[in-house]
Parts: sequence; C-alpha cells; structure tokens
Amino acid sequence: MSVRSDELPVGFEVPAFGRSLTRAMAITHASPMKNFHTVLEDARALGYPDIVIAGPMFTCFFSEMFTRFFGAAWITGGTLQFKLVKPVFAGQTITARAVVTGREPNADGVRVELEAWCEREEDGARTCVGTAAVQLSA
Amino acid sequence: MASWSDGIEPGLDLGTRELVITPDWIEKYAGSIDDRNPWYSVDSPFGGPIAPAAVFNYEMELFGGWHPPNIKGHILNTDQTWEFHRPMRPGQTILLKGRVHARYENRGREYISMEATAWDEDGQLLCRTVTTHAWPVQHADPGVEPAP
Repeated sequence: MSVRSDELPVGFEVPAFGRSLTRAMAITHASPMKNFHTVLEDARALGYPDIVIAGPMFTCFFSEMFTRFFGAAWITGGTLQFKLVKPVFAGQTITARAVVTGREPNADGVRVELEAWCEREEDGARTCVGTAAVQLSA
Repeated sequence: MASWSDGIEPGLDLGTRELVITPDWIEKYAGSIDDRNPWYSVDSPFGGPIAPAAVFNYEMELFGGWHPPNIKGHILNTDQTWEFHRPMRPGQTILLKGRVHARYENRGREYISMEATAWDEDGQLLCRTVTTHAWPVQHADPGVEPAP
C-alpha cells in the first residue's frame, strides 16, 4: 500500500477505524494490571458505570488507522500527539478519525499534517483530540 | 526550578527493560482492538511480518518509580505523544529506556510525564513516546507554584 501525497488535499478524510469496546478487550489490553481498567468492581467503587478503557488503547486505534492508510510511511516516520478529554467505558463504540489540515513540501516530498480524534458513537462526543503528521514522497 | 522532596524529578532514570517482541505480545495487541492486520503475522512491505508500531502502548504503565507514594484518588492518563522511526520485528530484542520527562501542577492537579525510547541492539532508535498522568494535588510543596 502506498499513498501518493497529491491524493491528499487539505480536508481529505482518512478512512476511519472504529470498534465497539468490550470488557474482554479492555482486560486484554490493560492486563496484567488489576485496577479500574480491568476490574468492574474497582471501576464502580470509583463511581464509574463500567470498566474504564485505558488511555493507551486509543494510541492503538490511531496507529492502526494510520498504518492501514499510510502504510510503511507511518511505521518509519509517523508522529502523533493527543489529549484524553473524556472517559470511555466498556460497552461504548469509539471511532478514530483524521482529516488532512496541512501539506508542507520539503526536499523529501510532502509532510502531511492531520487533525485526529476519537469519537463516541453513542453521543458524538470527542473523547480524545490531537494531531498527527507523516512524511510522504512526492 | 521546582524540586520535590520525593526525588521524582525531570531526568530521573526509570531504568532500562530488555524486552522480546513475542507472538503472544502481538496477539495481545490484536485482541485489545479486535483486529488482526496480516502485516503482523504474514507479510508486510518490509519483507516478512512486523510488530505493530504501537506495540509498546501500555509499557509506560509498567515502569516503576514514577509516581509518589500514597496518592489519594486515582491516576488518569491525560496526554500521549508518539514518534515512530523504524519497524520492529516479532522475535526482536528491544531495549526500552524510561525517564521522568516533566513534573508540574496545574489547576489542582499534579502531572508527571514519562518518556520511553525503544532501541534495537545496534543502538538505532525505533520509537519514542511521552505519556502524561495526573491526579489531585495532595501536598503543598514550597517548591511548586501552581500555574495561573
């Protein structure tokens, strides 16, 4: 898979990556830790309705979205930064999305800049927000 | 510059962990997101399978020595930064180095950022991450001024 930079104008939407997050996925992700990310009773004791999905899960969502779309370019030069702004619980459906916000030509091709976020299907809220960038050949 | 009586300050070395990227580890990643990309088990543009770029996504949580004792209230992950430099392979031995990157207070919360860098056995940087955690402030350290 190889994406050409001239196929990515500002405003281009990267194909999304979404999943319904189950307790099993949360536990697999955060094991071997035993806390509110893996134990339902611990989460409820803190006042949460269900297991709280650990923040690094969304690194996986973003990285899978960008690996699928940008391919090797993501593996060898992708950058990502995001803030976790709302908690996500097991049972909710989250979709990672990104849109091209800038294109900066350079000696190696074009650096493509993106706004990236995760969106909760149940209410449309953005649960994490950030930016990413990847270097593509011309 | 602020200082903390517990010694957990920017630059504090959290140690180096030698890790082997096993098929079980990759399967754990795949199970976490309910997705099995054939790049991680069959073939990739790099020739043969690679590990997911973010295979280390949870490893910062497993470093010790970065949070003060007796924290009241739970710790929340607030920010993540990642740079991916080179592919990693199943079976590859990785050196993961951790250190405290920053520590500060803001609006009633205390924050600690940790940096991890992953290196191959030839000393090439594979990826870098900075992850930040926060919890309610619970002491009035004279060296710390809350941000406005």
